[in-house]
Amino acid sequence: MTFENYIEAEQFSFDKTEKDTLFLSLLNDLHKHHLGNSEEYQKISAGFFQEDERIASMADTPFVPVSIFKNRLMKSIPEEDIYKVLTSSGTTSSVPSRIVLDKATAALQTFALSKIMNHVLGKNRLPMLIVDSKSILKNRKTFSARGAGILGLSVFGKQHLYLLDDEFKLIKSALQEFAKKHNGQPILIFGFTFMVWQYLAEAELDFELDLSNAILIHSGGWKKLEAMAVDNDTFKTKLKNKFGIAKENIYNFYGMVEQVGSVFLENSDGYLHCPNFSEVIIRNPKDFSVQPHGEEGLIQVISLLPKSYPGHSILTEDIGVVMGEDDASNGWKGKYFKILGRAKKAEIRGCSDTFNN
Amino acid sequence: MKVIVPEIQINAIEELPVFQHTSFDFETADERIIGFLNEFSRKIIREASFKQAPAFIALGFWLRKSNLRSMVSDRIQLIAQGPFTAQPLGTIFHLCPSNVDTMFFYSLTLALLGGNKNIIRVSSRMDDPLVFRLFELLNELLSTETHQIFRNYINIVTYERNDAQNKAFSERADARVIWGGDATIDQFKQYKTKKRVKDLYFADRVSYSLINTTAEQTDTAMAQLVKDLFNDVYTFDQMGCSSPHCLFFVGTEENNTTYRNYIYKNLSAMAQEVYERDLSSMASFKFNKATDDLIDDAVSSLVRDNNYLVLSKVETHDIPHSCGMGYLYYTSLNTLDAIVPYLNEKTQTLGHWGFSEKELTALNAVCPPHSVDRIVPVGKALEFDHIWDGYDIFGELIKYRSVRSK
Repeated sequence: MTFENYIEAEQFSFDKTEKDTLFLSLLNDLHKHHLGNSEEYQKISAGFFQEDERIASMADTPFVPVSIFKNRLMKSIPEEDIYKVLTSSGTTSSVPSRIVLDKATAALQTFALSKIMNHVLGKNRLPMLIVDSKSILKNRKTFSARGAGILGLSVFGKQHLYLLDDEFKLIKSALQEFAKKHNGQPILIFGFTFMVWQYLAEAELDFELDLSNAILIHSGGWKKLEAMAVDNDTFKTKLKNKFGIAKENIYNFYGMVEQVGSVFLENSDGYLHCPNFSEVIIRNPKDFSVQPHGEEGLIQVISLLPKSYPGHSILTEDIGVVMGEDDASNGWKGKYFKILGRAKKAEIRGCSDTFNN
Repeated sequence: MKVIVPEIQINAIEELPVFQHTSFDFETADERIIGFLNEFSRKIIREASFKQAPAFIALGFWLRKSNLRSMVSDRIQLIAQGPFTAQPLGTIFHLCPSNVDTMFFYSLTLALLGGNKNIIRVSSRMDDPLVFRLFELLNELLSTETHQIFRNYINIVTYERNDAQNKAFSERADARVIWGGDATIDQFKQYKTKKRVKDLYFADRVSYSLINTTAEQTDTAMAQLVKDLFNDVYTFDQMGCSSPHCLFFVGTEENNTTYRNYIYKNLSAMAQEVYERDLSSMASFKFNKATDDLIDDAVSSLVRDNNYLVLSKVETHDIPHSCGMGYLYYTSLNTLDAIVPYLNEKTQTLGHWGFSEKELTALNAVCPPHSVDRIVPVGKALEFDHIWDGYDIFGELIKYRSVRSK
């Protein structure tokens, strides 16, 4: 199967056998491409993994540490083909990741995201409610994952309404207007998980907001909500009871600037699901061996999209566990997993840190 | 600023007992000081919560009066011969590192033995409950009638990075003992001090271990080598300046490879059993280091079956200065004197294993004078010597007065 045919296929349609053959074959092309075009990748592949040009199985794919994109400008294309460099400061470090894109890879990212989103949203653009302030896009300092996420997702909606003003207060009048027009209609809602909780789920409204046909997509992690003892089920139940959002229309997603496009969307069982474009492998921190399903470890993400930079196989510092494969209750094929947290930053103390913190 | 020892609250640093109490009450190596420290030693050794903490037990043993006396005896004998007497230097400001929790007390002890008054700044990032237990024990001892005089000699403080505090202490100190490494030293050299201030600087250093692979060894000796290496490498997450960064296998290529493989297998197995660490951060840390070194061509290959230990082969004399949590460089030497090109002013400790007295004497002779401050057996890398980084710390913190009658 050609790459074009593979990516055109309906999402969540390939099972393990197909991933082990079709996906692996395309991954091998990518591996070979980066070996030949990124000295860094070649050195890691040979020096750490002793891998040559042909990978025998998905688990043999060399991976690079996610931090490498903070420390180095990684690219597999000539300087003159650089179309843009994505940066994101992430959440835990002030050093931004820098991702080198050429036109083809950028286009592929956009295409992939549409494929995945359209799978749950349908082809038509819906009126869109964004649970954030428009100021998040203007302020360069806070424009990071959140701003990029909003921009990336807003192409799937129309008539966008930002729910919060510059002071992060709910604009009730605008929401009331929106409700009048779209109550009970299909709409799209997007926001960061804790923002959706704080500003939508907990909102006190003196008018009716009927979101029974809305689709909610949210991202950003559960850390803040876990501290408030809010889990995925509490989150969904509250939104269902308050505004009638169907639980099956609420989708969490997991993505990263290092692999834009091939995002993991929540399936009907509440787990993050690998699309056709990508795959996860859980690595045992003791020796990087592959963990069996159900055992936790560091998450390795593999994507078929990154061609302009060697980011097709990355070891994240997130800890997760694969919950199953090919048997999600909504019929989606592929692996699904959940995230348990993040590796503690290696907090080792040097002798020179008495003073310089 | 918080005063940890003694437990008091102050509004200005002048209120610290070391500044309030103006007289100096002790002779050099005064028996009352030795008695006080010895009692503290007993408290530490008896303390249940330190039973599983070798670093604290080691401090306890180091503080026994027999050891204290033997450390200062040479110097005391010299003083007794005259024609000079010894006085305390005065008020000593100690800036202590956060990577070695017990370090502050070694520094304090050697200064106190000279009869000096001490301000010890410990890192605000210290979070080991055992260190706080140590402070408690010290406060208990200082509140007894016999030892309350030492409240004027031991003031332990902590504060966040703060120029004003550092300046204030620097201006008032007769000597400063700066354990903070290169960046801290640069910072403290900028502060105004007394004209005759005496500074002891402990800069960033690196340490290595040398292993003789030629001699036939018993299984017991080999097992002990692994244990000793474990202590040197994994204590304080390999972040002490004396923790080895590189293993040098000395012998034939064939023997060196056999030893390397033996050590990889057994040392990583021991770490798996004993080293208590967040596994994911340990794995990420080593993976980041290894990939960085491979890309930079700092290393040519890795020995790695698991993430408890990574041995990275270096090919040049320029060994990178970044280790931690069981990430070790290694290389092969045919003869012991082949170590010389690797030694420079950054080299602190050389651990040795399997060499004869004669070979060690020869090693000492070939080390360039500005390099290498310690040559000690493997397993003793982190054992504190009162002569450290080339300083006899006790002797440095004493003032000598010439006295001649004619």
